[in-house]
Amino acid sequence: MRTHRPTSLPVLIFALVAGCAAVTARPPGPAVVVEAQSADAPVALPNREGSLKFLVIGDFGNGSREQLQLAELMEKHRQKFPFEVAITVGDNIYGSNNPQSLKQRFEIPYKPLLDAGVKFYASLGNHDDRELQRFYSLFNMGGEFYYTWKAPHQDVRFFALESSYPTVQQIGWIERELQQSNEKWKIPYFHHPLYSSGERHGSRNDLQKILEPIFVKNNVSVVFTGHDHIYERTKPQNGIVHFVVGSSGQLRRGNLDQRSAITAKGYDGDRAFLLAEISGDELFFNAIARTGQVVDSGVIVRRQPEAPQPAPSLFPWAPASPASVSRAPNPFRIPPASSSQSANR
Amino acid sequence: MTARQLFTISGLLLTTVSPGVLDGRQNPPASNPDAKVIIEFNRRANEYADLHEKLEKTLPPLPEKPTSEQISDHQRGLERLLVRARADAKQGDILSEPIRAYFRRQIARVLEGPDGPAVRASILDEDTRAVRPRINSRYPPNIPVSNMPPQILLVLPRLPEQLEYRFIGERLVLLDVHSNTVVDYLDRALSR
Repeated sequence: MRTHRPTSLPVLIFALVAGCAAVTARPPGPAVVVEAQSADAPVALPNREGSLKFLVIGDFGNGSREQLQLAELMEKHRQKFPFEVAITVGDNIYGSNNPQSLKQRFEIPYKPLLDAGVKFYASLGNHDDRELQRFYSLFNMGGEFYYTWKAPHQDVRFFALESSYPTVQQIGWIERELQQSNEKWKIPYFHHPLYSSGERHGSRNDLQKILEPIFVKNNVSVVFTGHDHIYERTKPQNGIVHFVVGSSGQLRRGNLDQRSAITAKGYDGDRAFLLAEISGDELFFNAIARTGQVVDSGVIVRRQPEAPQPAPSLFPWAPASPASVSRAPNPFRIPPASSSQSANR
Repeated sequence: MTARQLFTISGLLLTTVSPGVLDGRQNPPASNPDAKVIIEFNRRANEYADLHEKLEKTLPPLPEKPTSEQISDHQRGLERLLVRARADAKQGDILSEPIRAYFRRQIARVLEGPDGPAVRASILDEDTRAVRPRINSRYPPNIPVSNMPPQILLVLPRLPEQLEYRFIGERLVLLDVHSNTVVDYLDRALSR
């Protein structure tokens, strides 16, 4: 039989103080972006040993000459910047989805990358045959519509979602997985952008209302999407930077809303892909156009818990304890090679 | 809105509209006018899922790491079996008139709510109005699928894993996930 023990006074005081501290805990601050000051002086990918180097492509599988050219450029970059993984943000194969189109629009263009051992982790777009692609071994989806995987380097976990069919089960899954993930970087990627300045589609507000609070609460710093056939990096939205990488094969030239208030940097002049590198708390990125030009670059310092506010003192006459003035790492520190960068908050 | 809130709202909706009946196995209270309709829908959807399952089991199982050819052959094999087994299938076999009315009401509730404009815009993001769905036909390969807003999925009965909802223009379509074929559809789903 369970019995109730009388609670001691010290335990009560401890619980009260701990409770106050919990109440004053604050959500993580925004991701901090340091970007290139000009296109002539891009922020270089540091290419550090042990970092996570990865490729992001979206809306690509159309079998066009441009897709092939961009794929050749990816391989050229890989030789100097040896990324091991690639994520796709959907619309992996356009038109009829069949074994032949998978060969023509994926295996042939990216053969050099596949031969070099680059592993692709796909998410599904609205042009994709979901059944064919989720079982397709080169997309590494394991037969799932949505899934998570841990990166081979650094403290990073990716979450591939299926944004065209966000069931209650899927939303419950992503919230649970993000909560349970202990990785420093939690990176969701999927097809439909929560934020986009593409005039054709734009931000998907129905999904934004559901997913954004989950991402904010669970310390997500960056989100990769596609769908609009442009490249865009948003200013942090509720602390999170959103990338639209939807022009790695398809392109809607001139489709970026030039008046958009959310754009930090956009490019709709040609096809593009994104290279990224995570090292510690920093994510370096280079968006590269088919011409080889780096059209956007910079570094994102991940969202970090802000310094806890001192709890209201139960004993105001007592001196502050050292614990009450502890600080979180400063998220505003300027990373190396900062001479040509400007802070964008 | 968090997933927990979603579940809470979902739970409230289900207890007010159709307590304990979405899995089709519990008896609803007699006072709920929609309960019978939902039970009947679940019965029909599960019956379809059983047929799908039975036919799929007659096909050679996919290996652990199938080639694209094997996946495609499996899809087409299943499609042939389903079409043959449902040669007489027609619109309304699953989505009967009372079920259609219930679905329209549920969708209208969302569209008339605060998220209505965003939900409608999301559904109509891709223009699929030119497509006319036909029972047992494959979803047109060159046409992108519509978004299914989470707000809509929340108020419609949960489907067995063999089926999914999609919009084609203003029609709500029941699609077989594995064979990508149209099972049934509902006209004028976006208007009461």
